[in-house]
Amino acid sequence: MEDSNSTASNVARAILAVVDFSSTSDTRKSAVQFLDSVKSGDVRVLAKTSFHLVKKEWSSEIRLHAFKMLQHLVRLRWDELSPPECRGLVNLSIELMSEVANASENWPLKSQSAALVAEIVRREGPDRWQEIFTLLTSLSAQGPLQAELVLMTLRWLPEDITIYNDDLEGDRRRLLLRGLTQSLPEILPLLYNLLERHFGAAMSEAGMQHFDLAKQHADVVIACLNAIVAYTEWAPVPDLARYGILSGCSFLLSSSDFRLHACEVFKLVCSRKRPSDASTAEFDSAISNLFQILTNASREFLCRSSSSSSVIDDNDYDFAVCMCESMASLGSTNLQSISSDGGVMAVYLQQMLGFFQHFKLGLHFEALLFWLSLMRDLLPKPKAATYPSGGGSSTGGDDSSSQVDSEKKKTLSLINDDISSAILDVSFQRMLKKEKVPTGIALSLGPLELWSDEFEGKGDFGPYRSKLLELIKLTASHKPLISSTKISERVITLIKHLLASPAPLQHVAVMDSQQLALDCIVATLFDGSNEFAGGSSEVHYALRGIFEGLLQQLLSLKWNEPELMKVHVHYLDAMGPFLKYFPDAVGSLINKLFELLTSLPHVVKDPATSTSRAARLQICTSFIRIAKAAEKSVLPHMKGIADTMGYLAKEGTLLRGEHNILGEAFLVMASSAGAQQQQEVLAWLLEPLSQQWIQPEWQNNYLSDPMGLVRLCSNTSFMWSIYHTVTFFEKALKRSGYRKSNLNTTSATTPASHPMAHHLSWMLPPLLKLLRVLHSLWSPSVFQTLPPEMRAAMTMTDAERYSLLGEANPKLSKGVSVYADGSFEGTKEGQAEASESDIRNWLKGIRDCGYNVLGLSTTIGETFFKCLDANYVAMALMENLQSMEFRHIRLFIHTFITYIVKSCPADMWESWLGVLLHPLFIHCQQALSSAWPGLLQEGRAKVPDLFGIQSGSDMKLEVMEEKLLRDLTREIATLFSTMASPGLNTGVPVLEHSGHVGRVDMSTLTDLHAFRSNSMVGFLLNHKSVALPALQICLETFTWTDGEATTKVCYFCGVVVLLAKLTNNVELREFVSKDMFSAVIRGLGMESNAINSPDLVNICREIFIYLSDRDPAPRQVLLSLPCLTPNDLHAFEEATAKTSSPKEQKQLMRSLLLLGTGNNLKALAAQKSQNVITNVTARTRLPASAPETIGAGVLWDEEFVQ
Amino acid sequence: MALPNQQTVDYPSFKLVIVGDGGTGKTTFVKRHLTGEFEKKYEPTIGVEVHPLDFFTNCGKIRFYCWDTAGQEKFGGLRDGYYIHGQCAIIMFDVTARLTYKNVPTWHRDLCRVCENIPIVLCGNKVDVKNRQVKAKQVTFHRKKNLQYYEISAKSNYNFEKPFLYLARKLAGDQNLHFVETPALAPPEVHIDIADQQKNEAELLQAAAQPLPDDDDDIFE
Repeated sequence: MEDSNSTASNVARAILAVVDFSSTSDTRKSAVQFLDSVKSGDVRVLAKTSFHLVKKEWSSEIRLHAFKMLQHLVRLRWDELSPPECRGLVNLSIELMSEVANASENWPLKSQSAALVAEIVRREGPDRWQEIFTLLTSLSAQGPLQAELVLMTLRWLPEDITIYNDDLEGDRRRLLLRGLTQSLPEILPLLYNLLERHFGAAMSEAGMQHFDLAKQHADVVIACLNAIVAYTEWAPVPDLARYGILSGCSFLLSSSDFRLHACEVFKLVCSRKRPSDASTAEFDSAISNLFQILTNASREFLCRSSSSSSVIDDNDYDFAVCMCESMASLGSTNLQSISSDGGVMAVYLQQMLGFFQHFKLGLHFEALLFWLSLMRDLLPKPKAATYPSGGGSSTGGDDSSSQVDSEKKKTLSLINDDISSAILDVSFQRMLKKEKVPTGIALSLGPLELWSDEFEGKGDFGPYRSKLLELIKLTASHKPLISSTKISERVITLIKHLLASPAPLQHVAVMDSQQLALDCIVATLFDGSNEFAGGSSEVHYALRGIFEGLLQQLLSLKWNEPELMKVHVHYLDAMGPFLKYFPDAVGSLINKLFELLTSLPHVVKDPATSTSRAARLQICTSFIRIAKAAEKSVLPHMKGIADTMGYLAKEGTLLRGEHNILGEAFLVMASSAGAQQQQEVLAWLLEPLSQQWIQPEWQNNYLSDPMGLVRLCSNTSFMWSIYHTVTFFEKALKRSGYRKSNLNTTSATTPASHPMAHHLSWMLPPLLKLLRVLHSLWSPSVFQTLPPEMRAAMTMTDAERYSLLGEANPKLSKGVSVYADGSFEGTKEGQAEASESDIRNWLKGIRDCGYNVLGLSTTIGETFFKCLDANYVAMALMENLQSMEFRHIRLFIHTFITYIVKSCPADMWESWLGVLLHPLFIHCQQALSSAWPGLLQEGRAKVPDLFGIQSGSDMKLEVMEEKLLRDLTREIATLFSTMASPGLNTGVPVLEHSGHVGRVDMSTLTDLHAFRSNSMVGFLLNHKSVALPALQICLETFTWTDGEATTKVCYFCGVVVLLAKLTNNVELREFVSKDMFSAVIRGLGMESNAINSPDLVNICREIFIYLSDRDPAPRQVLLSLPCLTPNDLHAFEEATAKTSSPKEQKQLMRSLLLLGTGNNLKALAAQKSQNVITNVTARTRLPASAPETIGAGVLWDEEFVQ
Repeated sequence: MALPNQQTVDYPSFKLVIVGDGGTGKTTFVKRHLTGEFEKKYEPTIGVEVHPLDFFTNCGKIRFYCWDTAGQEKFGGLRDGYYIHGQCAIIMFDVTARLTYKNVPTWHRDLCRVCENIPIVLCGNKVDVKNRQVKAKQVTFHRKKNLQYYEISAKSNYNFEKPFLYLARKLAGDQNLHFVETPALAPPEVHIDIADQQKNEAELLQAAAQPLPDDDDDIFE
């Protein structure tokens, strides 16, 4: 006795030492050690000590820990006790529960004593449940304090089985769950009774001013609702209804103290999945009852809050949010349960509209999500959309449409004109965020809470506005007439307000925000396809009237402020899609645009602050937008536009940058005008450029050596004119029939057919010279000789630094981005030399568009490959690869190498790709291999880039360096995955789809040469000097902590493994069997690869299955794992031989690897998932097949979430 | 609430318990506020460290006594003892380590069985790091349990104050409470990618609109 007392006081002291935060860490460590030794020591001493320390005389910390020790004992050491001892412990624990059931007791200790009993039930299983449940029931009847404790046990119990069940084996978990489910007919009525009894008691005690007692009963009600929540997540919904739980909760909705908790229960029920068994009808009826209850409650709320905004307090608001969420979740999960009744649906939609219209942003937002998902679901996908009839009721119903479709149509027909109008009104109004509203306008909004940056937890304004726009779009396709009328009225009203306002600039933000809505509606109604033409002529006519009216209004406006003109132009080009069908107005629109353009000054002293310049560029861009949207409608006006352009250019009132944009618009128009006209337009636009470009003088003067380029940079106007030529050529390539889809096939379109093909020959040779000399600036020997301002100009732009750092650019250098294209040349009169930042922008601009021109040129047929010499190109572009910065290599790969790899005809792989990829891979391998260890070991990647900041925090540099390194690594990895894409590897069969899972027939092996020209990877592997650095990068990628790069590399390695399997190349086989296999296993040791672990395991599987009978290495690699025995391997081989399912083989491989590494593969460990049980339905079996054991006739379906 | 061995103050103070797996950045997060230092070296906390953190609100000064508890299992045997009298809590996980997110429910359960109905914030830390493993849209636990979720970066100070502000508002019962003076934070040393972060927040938002997952993902599918 004395002994156990002294142990107890030692334990107590140790606990105090641990929880005292002023203890030294040594004291604490030794105390923890001592406590652990008690926990793992004699089990009876542990029990005795713990029961001693839970007594009242000890402090709460000590008692809490004693409870924890008891829970530990029950969970992990129960088997060491004899059955009578166990029984004794059960009784003691229940007694303990009744002891702590008193008003002065701490909540944590009550909770832990309840958890102890729950732990015991979980340990003992269904066998002893009846006995314990009886004890609990009688305890709960003794009073509110006891009832609260019993409810805690009833709450913890299901949680520990359905959620926190990691320690339970599958069978045990099912046994417990079955027991629990079978006990629902006892537990749920008890919950209902306690709820009813204590709610009544709380009310009556409160009525008699017995507030202490009322509080005790109220605590029971809360504890009961908490327990109910723990069942609502998984118990069959019909049971919850049958035993009164749902009606009990509905009763509580009228009590402001409990309604939020009760509504939480409803929210969970509303999101439960509808069962597909015999209980569906019961489920539906439960849900539709619930729906009634929620409708009544929300009607009351909406009614009250619409009368006055001030009657809504926080409590009301929280409750309303919960109601709204419940109703929304009902709509997204269980609409079928109510959708058959049109009347009910109409009420439902009305309520959801009420929430959508609510002035509280939180409620509106929830409802917005609902409306979006509803409309998305109800409306046919945009592609398949038939032209909607204006009246709204859907016509032309398809007889064969399923019942689902007809219900959807019914629901859609309930979204009538009024609802649609209301949705649009709210959406239009909320397109503006609070921060942008000028005070004068804010007042007129009343209590309406607009979106605000301060608003918590709903993300950013951008995504929110996109949601509104999507809803507008959906509504527009549902109700074209209503939407057109609404937006037109709205725009006209806003214009009127603006015209009447003494401070029109105040309205810019509002006008600007509505332009997006107009854009969205016009695009929806008149977009892309020819469907508009097929609509009913009546609607046709009406829409035409509306938009013509609006267009007239817009054309008649005369605003002189550049800010307003920008908005005006936005509105004009929003009308583009309308013009596609109604071309009559194109002429006046184009005249208006030119009128606006010429009304603005073309020379501005200070371009950086000039809104006029921005407005001019905006107007020019509008031509492109209209050319794209209105398509053929613009063609008749091309001549007129060309004449005006020519006139303005001659007058000198059209700047080069503006000319280029208009030229681009012209290219867009020409692309829909037919080949002949396209050729003519290109000739008209490009020939003046080529005249200058092909002159040998400037090339000799500026491009023959680095100093020439330095000279070029002091000739500002010429330097920008060069830039304009290259960038316009880039535009011409992009706008003239360049098709993305061509990139995936090696068979290019016939060269002659591409309108740009014959222009390549004059553009490319000087461009290569230009890029070559540009690259040479970075070579160390040249760099030293450069003047300081040139060196300074070679550093990063601010914008690049900001984007690497992820900072928002403080004064978003719009000036630079808009004007860096050299359009400020005219403003630099008298200033011969460009500034440092001009040169920096120019260098960057030339590099960007130069690489782009090269890349795009490879995609338009074989001309590129035929008109240039591969060795010269490789030399010109690669000779200074060693000195390129990471950001530049990345760009080079992204915009040129990737394109040439995709587009190069197979018969030219040898001559082109061989010479280009060899130096690239060698350099990248060296650069990455030396940069990564720095990042992994010291947190600093060694990159060559010039940041252009002398001082600054090391942290900033670290972040930029890491980003550059990861970006380059990912780019290379992407290049590898491109090379491994099916389109470039047509000769490699897709094995497993055709059922060839197992070993290979040795007689079918072929020479690796056979894949030289029908597989890009095969081509690579046939060129050892190119392949080696590439494979080296792949292997190393597995241990660089970059999951994204690993994903891409896996793809490539998969094809390499396949080729090793299919060919008889010994070197390749040995490499894959040994080096790659080990590297992939190392990769599985990185947590960063968790997301790729299935791919990595699959590569391991393939290597082993395909190659282990031809090569000893796969077995050797596995046997070298620290914990793998030959027996394990043998068992694995037997098991894999038995199955031909890749999935099973992968699982076997995964288990083997985990076993072999002693569970030390972090990528796999992180996959550990939780089995949270979310849905239990009782399914009745046919009597004939019913097993005659416990639970006969009933099966339990569990669903799990990860 | 008077704490043993801790000077008491004459303005409202609250016990804030910070829990989460080892290495998720709990200590760094707290120290960031205290001294502005960013600790690069990882020294596992033993047991608990308590730091008083003061904030200035429009309703006056408040103090959080931050109980920075050990996340590591070997020091955690007695952690429930630290939760007693906790008035609010932060559960921290590391977005670059998925296991730390998987363990969030367990931390939540243990907290809830000691602290009755306290406001809790879930924080996904290290969003500055570019190779995150737990994507914003995968974070759904807070929705099931009505917790507030914030993405934070102790390294860059991103959203540093948000958890405290949320808890202060809940404890004060005043949704309009705000901090009036930025606590003396050290200049952020990392700037997280705002564009990236906005994408994450957009994802979060998208996640909020999705039904909660209820299927066991098969990793081999």
